[in-house]
Amino acid sequence: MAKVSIQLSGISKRFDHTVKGEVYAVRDVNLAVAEGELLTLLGPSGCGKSTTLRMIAGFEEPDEGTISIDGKDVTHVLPNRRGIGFVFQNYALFPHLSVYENVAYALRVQGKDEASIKRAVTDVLGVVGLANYERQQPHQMSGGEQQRVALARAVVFQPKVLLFDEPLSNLDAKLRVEMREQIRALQKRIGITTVYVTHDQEEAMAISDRIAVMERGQIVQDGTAPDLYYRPNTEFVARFIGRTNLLDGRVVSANEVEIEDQRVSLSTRRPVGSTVRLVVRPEMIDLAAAGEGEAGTGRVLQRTFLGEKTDYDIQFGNTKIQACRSDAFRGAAFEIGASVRLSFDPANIHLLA
Amino acid sequence: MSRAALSWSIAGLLAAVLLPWYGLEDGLGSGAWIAGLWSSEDAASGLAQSIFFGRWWLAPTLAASLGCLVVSLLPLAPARRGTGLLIAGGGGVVLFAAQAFAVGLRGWNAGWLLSLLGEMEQRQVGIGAGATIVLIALLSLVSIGLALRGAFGGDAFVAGAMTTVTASILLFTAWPILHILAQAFQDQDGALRPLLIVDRLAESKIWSLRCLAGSGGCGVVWNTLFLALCCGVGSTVLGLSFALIATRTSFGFKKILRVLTVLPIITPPFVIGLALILLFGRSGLVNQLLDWSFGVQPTRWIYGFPGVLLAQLFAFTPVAFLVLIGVVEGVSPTLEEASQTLRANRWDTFVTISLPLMRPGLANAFLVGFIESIADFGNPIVLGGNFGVLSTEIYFAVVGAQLDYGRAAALALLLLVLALGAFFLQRRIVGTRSYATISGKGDSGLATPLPDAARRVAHWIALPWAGFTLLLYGFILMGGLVKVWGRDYTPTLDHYAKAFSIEFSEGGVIWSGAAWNSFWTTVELAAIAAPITAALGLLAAWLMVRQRFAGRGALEFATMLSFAVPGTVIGVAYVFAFNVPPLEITGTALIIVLCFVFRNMTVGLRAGVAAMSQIDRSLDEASATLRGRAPQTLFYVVMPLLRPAIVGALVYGFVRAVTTVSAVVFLVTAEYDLATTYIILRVINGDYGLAIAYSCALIVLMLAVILLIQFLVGDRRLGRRALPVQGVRA
Amino acid sequence: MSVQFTNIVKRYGTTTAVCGISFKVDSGTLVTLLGPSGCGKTTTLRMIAGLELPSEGRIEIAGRDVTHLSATQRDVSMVFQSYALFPHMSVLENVAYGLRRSGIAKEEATRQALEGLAQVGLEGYGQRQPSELSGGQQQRVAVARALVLKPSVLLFDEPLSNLDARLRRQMREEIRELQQRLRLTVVYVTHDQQEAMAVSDRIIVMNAGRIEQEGSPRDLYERPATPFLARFMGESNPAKGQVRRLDAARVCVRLGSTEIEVADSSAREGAATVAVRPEAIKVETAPGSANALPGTIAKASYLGTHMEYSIDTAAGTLFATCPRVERPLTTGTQVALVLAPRGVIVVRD
Repeated sequence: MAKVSIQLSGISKRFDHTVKGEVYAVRDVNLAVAEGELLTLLGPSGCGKSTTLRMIAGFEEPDEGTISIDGKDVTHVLPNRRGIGFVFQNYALFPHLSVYENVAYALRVQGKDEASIKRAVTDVLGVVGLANYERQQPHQMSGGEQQRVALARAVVFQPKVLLFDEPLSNLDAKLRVEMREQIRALQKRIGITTVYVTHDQEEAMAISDRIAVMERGQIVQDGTAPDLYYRPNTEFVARFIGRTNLLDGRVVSANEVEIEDQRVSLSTRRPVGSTVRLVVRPEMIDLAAAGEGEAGTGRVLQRTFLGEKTDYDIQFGNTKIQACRSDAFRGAAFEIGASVRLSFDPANIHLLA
Repeated sequence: MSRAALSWSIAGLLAAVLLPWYGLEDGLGSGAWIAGLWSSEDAASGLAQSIFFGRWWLAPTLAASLGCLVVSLLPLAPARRGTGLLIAGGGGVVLFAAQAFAVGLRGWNAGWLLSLLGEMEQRQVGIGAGATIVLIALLSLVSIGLALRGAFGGDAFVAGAMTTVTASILLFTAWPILHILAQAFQDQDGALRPLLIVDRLAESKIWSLRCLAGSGGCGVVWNTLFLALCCGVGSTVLGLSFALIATRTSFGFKKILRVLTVLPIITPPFVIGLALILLFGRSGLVNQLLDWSFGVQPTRWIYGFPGVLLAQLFAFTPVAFLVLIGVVEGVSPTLEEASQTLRANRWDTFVTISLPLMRPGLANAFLVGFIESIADFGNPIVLGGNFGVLSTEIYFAVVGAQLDYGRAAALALLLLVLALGAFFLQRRIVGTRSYATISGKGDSGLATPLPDAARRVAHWIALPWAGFTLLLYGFILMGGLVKVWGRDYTPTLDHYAKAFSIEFSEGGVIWSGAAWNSFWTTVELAAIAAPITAALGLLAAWLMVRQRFAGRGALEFATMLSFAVPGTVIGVAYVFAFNVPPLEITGTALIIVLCFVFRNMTVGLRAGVAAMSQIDRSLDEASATLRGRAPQTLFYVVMPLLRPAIVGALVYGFVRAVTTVSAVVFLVTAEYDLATTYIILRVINGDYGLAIAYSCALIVLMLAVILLIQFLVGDRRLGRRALPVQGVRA
Repeated sequence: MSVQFTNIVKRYGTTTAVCGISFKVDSGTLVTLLGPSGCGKTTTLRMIAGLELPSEGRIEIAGRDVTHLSATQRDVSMVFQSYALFPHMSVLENVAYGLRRSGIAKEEATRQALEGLAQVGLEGYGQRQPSELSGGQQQRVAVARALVLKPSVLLFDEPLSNLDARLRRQMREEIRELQQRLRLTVVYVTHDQQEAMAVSDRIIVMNAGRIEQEGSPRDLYERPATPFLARFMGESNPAKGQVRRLDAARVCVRLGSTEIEVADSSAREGAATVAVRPEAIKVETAPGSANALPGTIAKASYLGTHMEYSIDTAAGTLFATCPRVERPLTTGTQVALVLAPRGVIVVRD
């Protein structure tokens, strides 16, 4: 069992004033982050992920519960004594200091000597790919470069824990993808325990060891990306992570569920005749050309070309289904109005509890 | 922190043993007191006083200090040590205050103490170096105690800052004001008679409405309110016109406009009034011209409401301008662009979008003008004539033949109520609505130029006013250079000579001019006060903006108190409160400096709050995560980014100290005379030439100081428009 | 309702933001100006709106020369990135604003505004203040406000960048649906190529003030004219190959030892840079199908729900994705890559 680096137990925090009927910003959160792990807190705006992160950092204090880092209770310890590095959404670079001075700040505060400061700063700038930027001022640099300086600044003094608060939301789409890969690579290389906050589930899935999905102040599911993607606990998680279809199926027997008029072999303990909710990811539905009115077919309502794949909205019986597939190996895309046959592979269907 | 506690305890005890407890006539400089530390009753140390001279009431305080030392030395857990320090130090402070207020010049200060404990022979005078240091030590120990117990995030620096600011405000703002409020309810002998205030205030002189019926003057209250209303509206309209021209037109002379708006701020308030007299007074230039050319008899129309209003508009439009420039620039250009894409032309956009968005700011500017007018003393005293306002009434109650302190206090209370009422109204109006852009990202729009009609109106309002201002200053300049205004216009440098003559003898330079004494005193005291004002104001601003702690609201209120209270009230309050022990400093330079500092601290505070609100909080948080403690964050991150605000605070602190009249008019003495009071007396005596020459010299002085401070402390970045300082986005 | 730009140049002092571009937006279509930050797309949009005037060139809207008309005088409405809702007015007053400024009486304007709100699904929200609404709702109010004026052209300036990732998808579908239903002429600006592909009839890609290429999403994706476009529109996977022409419409592209027949009527013979789309690569364990490109796995990255493999081949290092995360292939494994001709693109150097 890996050593636990950060432990949150029973953390709750109330809003200053009731927001839309909610009293708690964060309610009864329990979380354990293993050493060297990258855990992402994922959720929509207002779900409490940023508040939780700020409590780990020490910018806000919980009303109930305890936080410990490396076994030490830090619930009431000031941020500057918790040994954490923090990367802010707006970079928070000191505008009056050069890149070198920004990165050197923590080391200077600790009173390190000039020579070791220079070594450490030059090293870390090289690692983030900003080797010759020492004399630059923050305002002369692009967003991506500034974020890398912020990253360098946060790790140079070797903190025990690294925290990210939506660091990439201010960047262009393509830059986001590049930067997240760099962050992940750096994190793995130095093996630092990291907690990352984002609302972008694609980002979360691409870089995390584990993801904790939050809704209205509570953690609703906690697991690896495939866990959340293929085996969501609730409708909320299913909808939030990637796109999904939520279908109603009727239990026919202990081993079969009927979706519209198709039978799929799925084992379930629910009573025969009851309705179950099924989660089917769009790319898991197999589409084939079909004749009009054949059993198990639907009609294409809308088609959207997205480059690497094409999205389809299909009317399937009484439900609207989203499906997608890459055209590269498949020949022509389906036209709007065409009939398609949908096949469901039971291995790719998940029953919601 | 235990080391700090130890140091402070030792310091306190040393002060109690090695420094004179009470204030000395000659101060500490002479050194004569060293000999008398144990033997002389005047110069004895605290310990000696309590042992040898029968001042037993000092003993508990000394015991508390000893207790603090013990707590600092014992090996205790931090939280327990904190509790110990709180008890010992806090107890010491309470005991100190108790004995300071209980025993005075005539023994027991309060009647009930007298009846309880009997007559006492011993007396107590004002505190001196020893007592002061003991008190400071005890307060520091209390802060350390609080921090040890976890308050203020466990940071002793923040706790100390908080204690310093609170204690200073309590001592030098709250205490004098409360004291004076009490005076309003006391009779000549100091007995408390609450209904007395009704008598004092129920005069027709104050409340009469005869003027409405056309038969004489109104009560001063109505005069004050009406004047303030007109001043508020007028200065807002003028300020808005200037602000619009400065930001939304391509007017070529914008730089001159900005200079013109700054001039009245560095001019002593009554100088404008003086210039108006020069032009429109009985022997004024305009009247003489009219007489000479059209045979119109000179009248005294300038004295009274018209003159005072005119003078106040000149004096306070700059303040409105500064408030409104921020407001006008704060209207999001994108909203105006959106309006245009919705088929609105520039006029529609201005009337339906820009102006409404400026409404809270306009209300703010109006109320600033209103409050400044209520508090104004210099202009009404010079130009008021028979038009009495509350501030002048207060002055006459104290200085005039009546010598009725109770009445002065009652009037001061009334004035305070009006000012605070207006102040809270302002907070309520501005506090509710905020028209900042809703979403944070990207406001890259271009500011829309004014619609033609608005531009013309603004020009027609502002430019004549600007021209008039130039004219006025021109005459001020001239006024000092002619022999006798109104009668003899021969150019002369006599007035300057009389004021500023210098003679050189073998002994060195003799400052023989009449003005030098007050001039140097003013410069010295203002130069001492300005950095203290800036530091205290910025420290308080930092606490309010950056720190979270209980009682923040109370601190805010207390600081706002010093701003809302009119100068005359503060002046009177200081005289009453600090004329008697425990803090006996009337007649000293210290009281003047303190008055400067606490009267003007709010300027540094407001500038600090505005500037610090623009610095994104994440910078502080970043510093914290980089191991920076509170003082390091303050000095290495916040202060460098605040340079413009620091400059502003220093400049304002100095300028307002030099130009203060109403507060210090009661505090000056023969030894410590100030330029402004000197000039006013010259004016009252009719010696206009000298007064004007001196005023011009003051203006020049302040321009020079502003430039100097900008050069020394300011940054080249001052020239750039201040943008919100966030972690700097590309 | 079409928009025609002819030789438009925009200069700011000594810098040229837009360097002589010409394009046409057909009536009833949604055209996106796409490109990285600073490419001139927003400036171009603002010139259509009339918020900025061009230094040279001509702009026609619905056949009328509007080059020198101000924004007020053009029949163009705009949805801003920050929505720009007037904070001191209610939602209803915001939506009715343009109508009132156009001289329409209050009752009539209110009626139309209510209709407009219903159209974007915000019935009943009329009396709220903008600050009380969520980001998505604010955006819908901004759209309603622009739509009630029945403009010839509707402009969107990066409308989704302030929204949550999930909300973005929903809102873009709503915008597209609205545009198609009402047959609006829309010019849309974004830096996100996926967003552009999802909503547009045609895309104009801009770079450094010039138009790089324009066409349908599929055109730009399957036939990018330059390496920049290949990289910008999706993942590009550049590889080194040899081109041999088979006939007027087809060429044979040789990658390593593999030869693939690709439809291309303009490629020149000889050495060429070839972009291979990752979804067009199927990774099989060696020896694999005939005509598969052999390679070795250099790097295997786990990206949550799929594996990303970096594979060394004779044609260069290619990367491919694979949804099978349960039994990932490890570094050093010999694999064979099957390439779909549709995803092999000869890019002009």
